[in-house]
Amino acid sequence: MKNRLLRGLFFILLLLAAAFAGGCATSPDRAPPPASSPGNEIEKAGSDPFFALAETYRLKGREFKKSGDLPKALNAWKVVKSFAPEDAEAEREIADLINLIPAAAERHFQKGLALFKNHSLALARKEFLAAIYLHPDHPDAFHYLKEKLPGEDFHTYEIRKGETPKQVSQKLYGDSQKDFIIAYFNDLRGDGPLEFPRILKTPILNPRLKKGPVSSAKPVANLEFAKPLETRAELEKARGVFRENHYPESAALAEKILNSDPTNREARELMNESYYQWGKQFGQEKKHREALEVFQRVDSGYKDAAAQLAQSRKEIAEEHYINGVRFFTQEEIELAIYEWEAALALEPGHPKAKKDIESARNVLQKLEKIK
Amino acid sequence: MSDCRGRVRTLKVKSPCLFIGACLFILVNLLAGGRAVLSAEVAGMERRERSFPDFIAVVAREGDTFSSLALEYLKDPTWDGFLAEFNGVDSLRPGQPVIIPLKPERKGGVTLRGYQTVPILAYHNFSSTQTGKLTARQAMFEEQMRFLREEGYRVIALDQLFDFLEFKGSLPPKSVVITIDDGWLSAYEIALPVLKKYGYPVTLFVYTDIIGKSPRALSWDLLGKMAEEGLDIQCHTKSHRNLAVPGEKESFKDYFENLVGELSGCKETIKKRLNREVKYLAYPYGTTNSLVIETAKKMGYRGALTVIRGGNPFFSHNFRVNRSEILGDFNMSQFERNLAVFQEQSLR
Repeated sequence: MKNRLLRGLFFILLLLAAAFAGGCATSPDRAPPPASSPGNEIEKAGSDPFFALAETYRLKGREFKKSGDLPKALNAWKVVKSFAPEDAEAEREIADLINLIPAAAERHFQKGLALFKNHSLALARKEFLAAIYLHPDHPDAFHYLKEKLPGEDFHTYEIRKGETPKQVSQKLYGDSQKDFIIAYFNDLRGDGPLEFPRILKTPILNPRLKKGPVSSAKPVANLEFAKPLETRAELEKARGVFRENHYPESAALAEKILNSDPTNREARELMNESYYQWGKQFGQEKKHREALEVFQRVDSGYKDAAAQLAQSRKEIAEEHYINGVRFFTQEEIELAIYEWEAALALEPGHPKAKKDIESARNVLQKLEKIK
Repeated sequence: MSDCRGRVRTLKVKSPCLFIGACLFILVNLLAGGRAVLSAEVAGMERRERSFPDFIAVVAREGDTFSSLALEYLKDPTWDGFLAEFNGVDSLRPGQPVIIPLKPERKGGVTLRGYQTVPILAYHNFSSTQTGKLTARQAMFEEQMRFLREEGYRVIALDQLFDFLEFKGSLPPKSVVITIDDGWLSAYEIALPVLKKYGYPVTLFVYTDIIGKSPRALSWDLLGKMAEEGLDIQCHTKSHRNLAVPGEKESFKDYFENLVGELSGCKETIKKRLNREVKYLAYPYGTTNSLVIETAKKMGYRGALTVIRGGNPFFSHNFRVNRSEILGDFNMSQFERNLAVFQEQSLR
């Protein structure tokens, strides 16, 4: 009797223990079972530490999709499907997201394109980036981000029948003598009429290198920048960003108008003023190299841009000169010469650099003789 | 088997309390069983993992971090941030199951919060004792390189950066490039041993007119040796003139011809002396313009570097790549300010 009692107690305890052990495996830090979980899921959870992981990703997949983070939602559902290949929800969601993602990317791209055409460059960039995030292989978003937004460094020019390099040079650079640039970049030989039809690609020359105002180049029909612009509206937009002190953007907008209409005086004025103010801003921040680069874009003769440019050069030259003196006192004579030469390159009339270079070279010669 | 039964029988006969105690012992063990088994897995030699074509699911063990898992499975600890983001947690605890994507893809490093930027550090000269604006002291340089390692930065080659800029590959989230300009001997004597110690790749931009012309400059023999050892040697023009600004007495035609000479002379000399193809250009003084850019493109350069401070997102212009000069008088906090690897911009 006593033995039977003990045996009964033993079995009860074992059953309790078994039930407890099963419960323990589905511990509180695990996700709740899915809505679609079959009857044997609890058993699975007990033996598979990854069971909860799949369920966590199921929840993530739903949340990501709800919040609009479609690529992450897709990744999450792929994880779920890997663990549960027959999971109907995962299969449905993956198929849905595969359709949704390129469509959403295209919407962002088209929005970006509209903003780009409207010269809202910062907003356009955001939309192109969103398109890339959703669909890294989007055929055009990368091209616009990389090539179109920063602007181009070259003109494209469609040759008219019978035109010569000198004529094209006159049109593009206001100087027929720069035809060698056109020849170099387009592998042309001779001065005669150019092959027709053909599109030439030739660098935009820095405004300060131009001899006169740029004459109108025939726009190339299939290029985005060359399309006719609604100039008045564009100009107003450029002025708006200028008033908000966004000088790089207003300069870029004005330049784009000039690409289409090189004789537009208001756009030229706005471009010059934008670069001028931007350069002054850099100057106030003691960023003289950046100031130099920006002032170089202002047309020569505009306000006191030439003086500002000279001042930037002088400041940079002075930095180099002081570095040279420091090197010299540290007996780093070659480095001192290097710095002084840099000073001289920027300011050929530097009061001391030339003389100091000569002295330093004499010192070097003497040192070599001693050796 | 019979022995076992006998023991139970003996137990039953000798003391019911002992028997109940034994049952309780079994119960306690069973209650703790799930955890105990897991703990053994966690701490033990064998890791529980399940492989799928695109990822591996693993259970974290004691001491695991995202960095150690990235090293173990992706062969690169600097993907730790990517793993943390993928799993949506900041740190690991033993027993935690984790997903490790086998092909970590962050093309362009774009997220909904912003995008990756890659800083390029520009050094010039080095000295074991002295500091100058363009001269980094050896001890400081070592500290900076150690900082990169300790803070989980991944120093990558310039080619990898340009693959990123051309949208051909992903980079670890904290990638950084190191360059040294000019061609001073100190690059070999001081910087290279430190860079070798950490296994960091570096690109040396030399202007060819100085090579072998000064006792403080590198010689072609030494450059040849460095190239043999795998050092990347690229162009800093022929004479280090400012490419963006014509000389005061230089006609436009002369300016252009000299520009062509600066870019081709350097490229050809390196090819002739070192039998190395040059792909990249560092603009002297960091300055450029559209004519310089188009000339460099025409000559087959893949890209060029300025000294405009800031990191480079994947959509940076290949010929206006930003680069931050690390000046000799920088302290560590100034150095760190040049290491921004992410630009916040909500894409929602």
